[in-house]
Amino acid sequence: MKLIRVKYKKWFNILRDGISRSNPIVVAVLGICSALAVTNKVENAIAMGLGVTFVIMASSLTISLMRNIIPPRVRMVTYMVVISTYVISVQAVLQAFFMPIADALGAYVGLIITNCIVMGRQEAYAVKNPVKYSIIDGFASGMGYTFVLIVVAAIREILAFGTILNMPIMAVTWEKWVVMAMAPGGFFVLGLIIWGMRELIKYYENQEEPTS
Amino acid sequence: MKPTVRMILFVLVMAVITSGILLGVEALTAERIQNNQDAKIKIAILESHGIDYTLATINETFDQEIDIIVSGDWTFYVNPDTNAVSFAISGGGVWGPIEGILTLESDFETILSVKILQQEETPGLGGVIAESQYLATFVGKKMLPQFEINKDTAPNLPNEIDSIVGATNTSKRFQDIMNDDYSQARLAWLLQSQLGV
Repeated sequence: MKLIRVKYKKWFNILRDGISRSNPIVVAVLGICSALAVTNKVENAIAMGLGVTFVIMASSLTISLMRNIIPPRVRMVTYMVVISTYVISVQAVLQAFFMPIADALGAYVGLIITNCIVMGRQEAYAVKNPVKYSIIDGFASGMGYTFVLIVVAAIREILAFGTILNMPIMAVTWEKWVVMAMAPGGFFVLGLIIWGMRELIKYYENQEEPTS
Repeated sequence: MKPTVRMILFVLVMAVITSGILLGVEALTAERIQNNQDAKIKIAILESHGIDYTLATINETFDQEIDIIVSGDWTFYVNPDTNAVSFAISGGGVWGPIEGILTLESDFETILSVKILQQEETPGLGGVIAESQYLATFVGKKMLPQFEINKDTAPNLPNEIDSIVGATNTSKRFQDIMNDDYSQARLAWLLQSQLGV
């Protein structure tokens, strides 16, 4: 009974939509560049996913708090400045206090600035909604992005390297699909995932809204 | 208040606040980041020479075990026990700079170790350049007449190793970095060892 009630809660719907029906990659087709670039290894996908999730949540919190004082004409610039400030700060803190993590993430942290999902959620949600729901929306979008990244990365890593999280899972005789580690492999797998997930949630381009 | 004035005021306040935050973060982290970078170089050099260290005593161990020789623009890190020499190498990779430490045996020709300190190559492809398994293939190879990272299937000569599968450009660029920096460093090393310059 309690579970049924949860289904009608606003936070639950935001969370569910971010991961499935409004998934930033599958439905909104945002963040494709990084989804192709970092998904040849699962560890990279997890690192990038968590980084993006944190930045969306922090930016959504800030933009939502400022939503009543941001002049409409400079709102995009405001998003950009807020996102950049968070990303640069996170990068500096990681380099100063968590050097091994900063090394593992390499250039990805800086690349979060260019991720369309972060800016997209500020414009589509955070600037119009209260802080609580903006944070949940940021988390949901981040998790939706991370979920797709991990699925794509798992398929690519297994086929390209015969490993998952660098642990060998295929036979020694496994012939590595080098193309899967390269950009074309990313296009193939991501295309198939988008197709599969859109079929699953019954989302088609000619529809205004996905059917439930 | 007029919308234009409000907008300008907002942008100014926003710029001041975000700049303040970034300056604050910079002030809090800059020294630590620099120390981390220095420690990273020292660790790479100590490991290249097979010298044991603990995280708490990196600086002391480095000062005790490594001699620093400067010749022209080059800084050489020498292990007085083995006469092996390390120096920094750097150059452009496919997506960004590649920086590392090349350590040679006392003949200044045979590779003892290659360490990568920074690279932004494609993860899983060019990024393999920083993996210890791949870097282990450099050990024992000769820098003369010219170091080569090649794609052919013929057995490797003493100055050759295999390129990274699917990362021809990274392999080529790293080969160029190694050869370019080695030829310059060799000149500086010979000058200082023969003429004391």
